[in-house]
Amino acid sequence: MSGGWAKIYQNIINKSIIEGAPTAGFFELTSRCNFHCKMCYVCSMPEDRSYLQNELTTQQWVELGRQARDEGLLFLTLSGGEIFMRKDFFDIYEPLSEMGFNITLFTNGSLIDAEKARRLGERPPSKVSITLYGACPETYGRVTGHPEGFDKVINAIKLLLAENIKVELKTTAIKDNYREFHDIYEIADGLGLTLGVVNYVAPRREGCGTDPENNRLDPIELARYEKMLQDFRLKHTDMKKLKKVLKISVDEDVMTEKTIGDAINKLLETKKTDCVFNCTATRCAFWLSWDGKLTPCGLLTEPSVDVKKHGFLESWKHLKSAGLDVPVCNECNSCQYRKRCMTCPARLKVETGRFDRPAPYLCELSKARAELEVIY
Amino acid sequence: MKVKSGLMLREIAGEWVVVPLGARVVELNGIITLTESGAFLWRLLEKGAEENELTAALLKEYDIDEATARSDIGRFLDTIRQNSLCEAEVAKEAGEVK
Ligand SMILES: C[S@@+](CC[C@H](N)C(=O)[O-])C[C@H]1O[C@@H](n2cnc3c(N)ncnc32)[C@H](O)[C@@H]1O
Ligand code: SF4
Ligand code: SF4
Repeated sequence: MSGGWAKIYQNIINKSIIEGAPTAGFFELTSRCNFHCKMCYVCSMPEDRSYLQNELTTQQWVELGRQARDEGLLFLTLSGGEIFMRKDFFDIYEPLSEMGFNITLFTNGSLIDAEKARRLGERPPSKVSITLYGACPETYGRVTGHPEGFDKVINAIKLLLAENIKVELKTTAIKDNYREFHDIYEIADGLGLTLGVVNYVAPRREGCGTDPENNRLDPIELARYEKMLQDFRLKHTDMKKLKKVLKISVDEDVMTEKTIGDAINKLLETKKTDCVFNCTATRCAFWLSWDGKLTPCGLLTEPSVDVKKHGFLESWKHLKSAGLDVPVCNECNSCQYRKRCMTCPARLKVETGRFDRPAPYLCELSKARAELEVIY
Repeated sequence: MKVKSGLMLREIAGEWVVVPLGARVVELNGIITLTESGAFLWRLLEKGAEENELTAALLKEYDIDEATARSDIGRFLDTIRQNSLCEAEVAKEAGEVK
């Protein structure tokens, strides 16, 4: 037996990439949300019938969980929209929790009351990952449209912790909240929790009434923000001597799959691969949308396979082969800023409409990072 | 010895892992990895097997000598006990092993 979470995780992912097994996946249970964040890539209205009608049913999610489990799914994240908008959330979650997954829940936290926390505590997920949109009701109002959300979320975090549920916080930086970073960090630190920072805000995939591109930071603002995070990290590292542990990580965005580490890159060199994804997408990871589309990651609407028609295994096979047809961006490959850039096929596609065209937003960001010497 | 219920042995891309189910996550939040022979022993322990049975089975399945098998099994069972992965045993039994 061996321990060490990061090592175990990386080892399983490495093996899965080589085998092409679908080990990591997102189930996007709904696109509906009680919040309406200005930058959201997916959000639809809470009771929108046209969306409700097309959501996979309770039984479909449970059955797809079983099928995916039989093909090797281990790391399962449930996300939305807001997962707790589904009245049948526990009817989906509880059976999934008995199938042999390591489950993470993505939620805005605001709908978690004492009863839900207690019920989760009976069969806890591996962790609950909550996004903090600000450090006060005013900022919550500006970002999510719900000032009252702030107190609810803080209360939910405390309820979950009281149930001994592992909680992780993250924050998504946009114009309306990025100046509050330090206060958000203080909240996380005060609760003894890690804070992840989502720094890349993608254009909208679907949904209504949100406007990511006009609310995200400009490339230069973002590079400055990253520089600030870098300095903050350095300062806190010094403070380690004072026994203050630094708990901050930059996660880019959370809908793209995990970047492949150096070790796996070396492994892949020895095994020829035509896949241009520089992450786990279509290699060993997938995204399953609220209406049953299997895609490489949460940013993309194509390539896409309808699981309702093909079932999980067939869909995964289709997705893997469709992933191989995604073209490479030659300009990115030979670009001097490549190392500082977060280019990937999915980001290029949502930014420019093509997989193989450099994205101005990412190019400007990379140049600004170079000027400010943001280490990436 | 019998391993607790609610711990699922799974093979993921050729790796053996044990994943806690439902309420078991309360006491064990994470994943345990096992070697091939560890998984072999685990399957026997799911049904409840004593040390002698484990030794006999291991000797039949793998090309090793008895002393090695006994010491490997002893260590494996210790780890299982230390991590509270087995059903409670009476003290006498626990003392016998080693
Ligand atoms: C869509 S939300 C779903 C889970 C939950 N409703 C929440 O807000 O945490 C998943 C994550 O994506 C982030 N996000 C929202 N819009 C985004 C965008 N346009 N680009 C990148 N991340 C975004 C959210 O802040 C959140 O951390
Ligand atoms: S980011 Fe999350 S909380 Fe905000 S609107 Fe989108 S789904 Fe809802
Ligand atoms: S997106 Fe632009 S900066 Fe980034 S690698 Fe491609 S060409 Fe270079």
